[in-house]
Amino acid sequence: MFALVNGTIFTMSKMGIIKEGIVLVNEGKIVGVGRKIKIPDEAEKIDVQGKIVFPGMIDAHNHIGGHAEAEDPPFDNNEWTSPVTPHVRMIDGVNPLDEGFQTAAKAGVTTIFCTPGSANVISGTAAVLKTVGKTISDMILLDPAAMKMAFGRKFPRPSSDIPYPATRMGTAAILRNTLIKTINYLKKKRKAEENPEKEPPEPNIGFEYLALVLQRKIPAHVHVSRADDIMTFARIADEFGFNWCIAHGFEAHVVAEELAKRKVPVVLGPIIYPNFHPDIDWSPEIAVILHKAGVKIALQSDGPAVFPTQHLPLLAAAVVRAGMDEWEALKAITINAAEIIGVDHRVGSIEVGKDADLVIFSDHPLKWRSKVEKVFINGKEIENLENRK
Amino acid sequence: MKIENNHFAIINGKILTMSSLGIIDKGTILIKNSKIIAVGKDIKIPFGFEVFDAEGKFVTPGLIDAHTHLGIIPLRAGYPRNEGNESTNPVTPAIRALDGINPQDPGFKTALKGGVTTAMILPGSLSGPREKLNVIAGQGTVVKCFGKTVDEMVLRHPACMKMGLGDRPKKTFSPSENQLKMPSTRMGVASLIRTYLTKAKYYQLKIEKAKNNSSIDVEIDLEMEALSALLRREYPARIHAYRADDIYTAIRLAEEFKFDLILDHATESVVLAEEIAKRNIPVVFGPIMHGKSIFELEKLSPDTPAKLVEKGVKVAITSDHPTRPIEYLTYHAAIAAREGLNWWEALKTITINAAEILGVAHRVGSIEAGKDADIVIFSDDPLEPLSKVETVFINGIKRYP
Repeated sequence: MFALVNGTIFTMSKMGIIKEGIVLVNEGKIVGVGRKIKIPDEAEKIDVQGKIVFPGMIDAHNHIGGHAEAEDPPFDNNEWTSPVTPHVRMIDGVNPLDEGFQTAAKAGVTTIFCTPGSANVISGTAAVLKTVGKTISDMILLDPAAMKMAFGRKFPRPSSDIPYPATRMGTAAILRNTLIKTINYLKKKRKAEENPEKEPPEPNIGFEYLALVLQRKIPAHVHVSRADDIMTFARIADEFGFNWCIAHGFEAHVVAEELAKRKVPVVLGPIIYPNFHPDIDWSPEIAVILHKAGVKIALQSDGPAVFPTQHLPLLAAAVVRAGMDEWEALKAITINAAEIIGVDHRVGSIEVGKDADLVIFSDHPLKWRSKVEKVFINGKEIENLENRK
Repeated sequence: MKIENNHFAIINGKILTMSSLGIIDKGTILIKNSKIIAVGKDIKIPFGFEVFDAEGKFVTPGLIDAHTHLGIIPLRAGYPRNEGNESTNPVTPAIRALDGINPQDPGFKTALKGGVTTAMILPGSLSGPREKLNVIAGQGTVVKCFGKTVDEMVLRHPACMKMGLGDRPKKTFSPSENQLKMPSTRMGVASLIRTYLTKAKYYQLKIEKAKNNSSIDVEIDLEMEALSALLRREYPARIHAYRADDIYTAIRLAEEFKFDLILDHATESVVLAEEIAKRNIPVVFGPIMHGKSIFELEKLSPDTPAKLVEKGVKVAITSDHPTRPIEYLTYHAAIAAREGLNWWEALKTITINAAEILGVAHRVGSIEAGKDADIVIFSDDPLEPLSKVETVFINGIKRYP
C-alpha cells in the first residue's frame, strides 16, 4: 500500500485536475483519489510535490512485440498468405520480451491495443496488453479485443504471387462474402443444437471469431482512411449490424457527421507521419474537426515502427497546436483510448477501483522539459520489473 | 498588419539571435531589401519602415534542416516512391538533387508551417527496411523553402557528395541470395568508394598533365569531375552511417583521401565521440523521433546529441524529411533537450550549427546584420511542443501563413 501525495493529479475523469491531491494504491488498485483522503499508517508516502500524476497512457493502435524492435523483416504481425485470416491471433505473435514494451512502459505508455497489420481484408484478432510481463498471459487485459480489418489502398505485398483482391469492389465483396459464410455457419450450428439429427458444421476458428463481431461481443477495428472507403465500410457494417471503429482515419473529417451519427470512434493517426497517400490531404486539424462533430477520438502511434510509441504525448501536442482543446487531446491518449478499445473499467483514468497504472511527470506532460520520472503498472514501479530479461 | 514591402522592423519580440548576441528581450530587427540591416535593443526605426509588433512572441532565424529529401521524395505521390535514389548503379556521383527537386511538392509548404526556411536536399531514401541507397549517391543542394523554380531557391549547389555505408547500399544491390551484385558486403561498399576516389585522383593527374601538354587529350567525365571537386575540398562528403564501425570506415576513407567529412544519422556515434570531436567532424543526427525500425538502428537513443555536444562535436538535428515530416523539426530538438542537451545548444542544432555544417552560415542561421532576412515568429519558446509558427519571412518577404 502506498500513497502519492502533494502532486497535481490529472485524473482524466470528471474530477478533472486535483492540486495537491492524494492517490492511494493498494494491491495494484487505486483505492482513493482526492484532496482529503485518509492515509492508513501502513501506507508508504511518496512525495510528488510539484509533479504531475497522470494515468498510464494508452496507445489505441500499436504493433509492439509483433513488429520486432531493431529487427529486419519478416515480422510477425501480417499473415500474408491469404486476404482472409480471422483465425490468427495477435497474442500468438507477440514476444513479451521485445525491447519495445520496456521502451513504451518507461515512457509511461502502460497499455496498448496490439493488433495484426493491415495486409489482409480480415487480418485476425487484436488484444489489449499491459506493457509489462514475462509471458503474454501476464500482459493480457482483454483478448480477443477486436477483429482487425483493412479497407482501401492495397498494402504493398512482399510478392505478387500472394492473393489479394484487385479492386475496392473486391475488398468489399470479400468482407461481405465472409460475413455471409459466418452467418450460414452459425445457422447450421444453431440448427444442429436445436435438432440433434442435424449435422453440425465442421468447427471453424475464423467463423467463431467473426461470430463475436456479428454478435457485437467485439468490434471490428478497421484500417481505413479515404472517406469513400469509410463509407463503404459503414454500408457493410450497417447491413450486418456490428460495432466498429476506424484506425488511421486521415480523411474521416470529411464524413464526420456520418460517424457521429453512428457513434463510430476514430483512432486517429499517427498524426506525425509523412503523407504519401496520393488522394488524401491530411493535417493535425482533422482531430479538431472530428471532435467538434462529436466523434470520439483516440490518438495512435502505430508504433513501434511507424511512430515511436514512447513519444505518444507529442501526438497530443501536435493536435493541441492545431487548435484542439488540451484536455480533449489528453483524453485521446488516456480515457478515450480506453473506452474505444473496451478497457475503461480497468484503465484510462485515475479513479477508485481502476488499476494503479500511474505516471509521474516532472512537469505538464505536453511541455518539452517534462520527463517521466516514475511509472507504476498494477501498482508496481516498473524499475523493479526490469530484471525480467 | 500586412508586410509586403521590403523595409520593415520587427519590434518588441524576444529575439533568439543564435549568434554571440544571445537573447535580446524586446529587441528590434531592421530589414531592408531582403537583408537584416540591424539587430539590437535600442535601434531607431528609420522613416518609411513598417512595423511588425512581436510583443510576447519569440523571434528566431529561419530554421534549417541539414538533411532532407524535400521535393525529390514527394508527398502525396503514393508508393513506390523511389525517386530519391538512382538505384541503377551503386556509384552515381554525377547525379544532382537539383535536377530532381519539385518546388510544387507539398513538403515545402509543411516546411514553412514548421518554421524551416532552408534545407539541404540529398539524394537517398527513407529509413525503412526496403529503402534504397547508393554507395556514392550524388550531389546535394541547399535551398530556401519557397519558390516557383528550384533555380531561384538554390542557396548552394553543388553542396556535397552523398555516400552510404552499411546495410542500406548492400541491400540495394544484393537484396537476396539470388540477386547478388557488388556490393554485397561492407568490404564491397568501402572498396567501391576507394576504387572511384582512386580513379578520380588519376583523372585529376591526367587533367593536370593535359594543361601543360596539348598532345594529351582528356575526355571530360562528369562523374570524375564531381569526385575531383570532393578531393579538392570544394564540398564535403555526407556519409550515411548508423553503426560505429561504419562511422569509423567513413573516417578511415576521409583520412586516406583527405576529403572533408560530415557524418549523417550517426546512430552509434557516442562510441566514437572523442575520435569524431578530435577531427572536428560534424554530425547531422537523427531523426530522433523515430523507432528502431531496422536492425542497424538498434542503439538509437535520444540522448546522443547531448553526449556528442558534451565531447565538443558540432551537431545538427534533422527530420530526414519525409522520413519524419519536416513540420515537426523542433520536436526532434525538444526531445534532445529533454534528454540533456542544453536548450540553447538544442536550438543551435536547427539553426546556426546546421548553417555552418552546410557552408551557408554567411547567409543564414542567425539573426545578424548582413544576413538574409529569414525570420520566424513563434507564439512561445520554439522548443515547446505547443508553440506555434505564426509568421515566416524568407528574404524579407512574408511566406507563411
